[in-house]
Amino acid sequence: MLTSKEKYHYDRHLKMEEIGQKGQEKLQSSSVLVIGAGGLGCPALMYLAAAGVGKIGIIDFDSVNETNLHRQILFTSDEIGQNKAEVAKARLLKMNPFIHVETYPYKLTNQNALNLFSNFDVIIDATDNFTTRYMVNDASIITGKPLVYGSVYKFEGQVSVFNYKNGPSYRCLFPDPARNIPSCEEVGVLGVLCGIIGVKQANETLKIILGIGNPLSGRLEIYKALNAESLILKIKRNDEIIKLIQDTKSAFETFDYDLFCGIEKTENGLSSSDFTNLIKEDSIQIIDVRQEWEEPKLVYNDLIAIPLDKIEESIKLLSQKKQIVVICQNGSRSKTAVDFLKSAHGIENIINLEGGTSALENSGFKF
Amino acid sequence: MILNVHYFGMIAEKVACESEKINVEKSISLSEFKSDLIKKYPALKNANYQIAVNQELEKDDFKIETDCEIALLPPFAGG
Repeated sequence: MLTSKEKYHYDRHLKMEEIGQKGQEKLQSSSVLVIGAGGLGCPALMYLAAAGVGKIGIIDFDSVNETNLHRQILFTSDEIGQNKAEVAKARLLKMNPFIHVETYPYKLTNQNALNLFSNFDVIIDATDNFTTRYMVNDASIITGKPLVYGSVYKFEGQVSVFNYKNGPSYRCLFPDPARNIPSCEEVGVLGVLCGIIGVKQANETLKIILGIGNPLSGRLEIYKALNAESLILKIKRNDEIIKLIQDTKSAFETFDYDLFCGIEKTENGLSSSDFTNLIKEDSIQIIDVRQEWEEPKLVYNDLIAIPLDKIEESIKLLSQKKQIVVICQNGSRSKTAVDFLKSAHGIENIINLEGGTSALENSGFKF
Repeated sequence: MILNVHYFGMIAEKVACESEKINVEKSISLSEFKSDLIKKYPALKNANYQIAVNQELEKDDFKIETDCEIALLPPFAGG
């Protein structure tokens, strides 16, 4: 039931017969869980809160970082270092005091996902990695929740609605996890594109709750910001894949999503603290496989910058005597380089810096 | 027949163009189309993407019989 204050607050929704008081009350009694309060999560959350979704859940373990601010518009520079879910909650309640916001300031795992999902009507995938995307997809199938998907790459975005009224799922679109697709952290992203895609996710969510229009189920929208072009592709439901997930409900909690997505638990990587000690001894060679524009730069005597795609043609530059440490932004491209050089060229005196320069920064390393 | 091929995301970067027209002599399956494309662009060898023909996602055994629009779509991780 809407109070007279709320009726006034939502006046412009109430004036449209497609929404009206009935629709606004549907929004009021609905609940939406947003996975990730980042580039996509922030704009989606703002419009869901403003629209009057009665219960909003936010799960994010991460804290606000200065490089988030060009796109994650719920946060200010005063809040750097604070948990994103908590900061988002405070801001959203200022925007709309008539809603409830619940925060989960920790990682989504296959241990906590099913329980969490069961408390919400609609799930929004606003994550930034494949491991979580597949996990979120499977948990949505198992708990029977519609999933509003969005993802971005530089100037292009994708939006779809999965697991809605027997429609297809993320696995029907991409059955096999991709390897070596860089993240926003590595290649950058147009800030406003996150806004466009996140707001489209909010729009799909509101349509699902209100039962109006045609949600993007069975269709994938691709938006190209540089050309202002949208393309809509039809996706078919793959019953075999979906059946497999529903059948393995009990196996969900033990499934290794990292391994499935090609993220191996490496025993051989170098930790930030070991790297900090080694760099003082001046006895190693560092290979930086990032692109030349990527920051922060590392200053070191024997450091060679070789972008990952040029590594094979630059093998003769690698030291045969020194211990070689390969670095990148978060440890994934450097891992690829190390695996490749070991397996294809038999190079043994080589090791990956775990977590890349991001982990170094977090450990307090001075660049 | 003429295939109007569109590339997205990282695939467009690997082939260094957003779209092109490719001439094909006779009808071919999507898997044949893929291996021809890898000959032209070796960088696509281990790339992960889905293919849509006339705005509809199709599997490798799909036969291309007439002029059509083809899209190569990689997954995006970012958010």
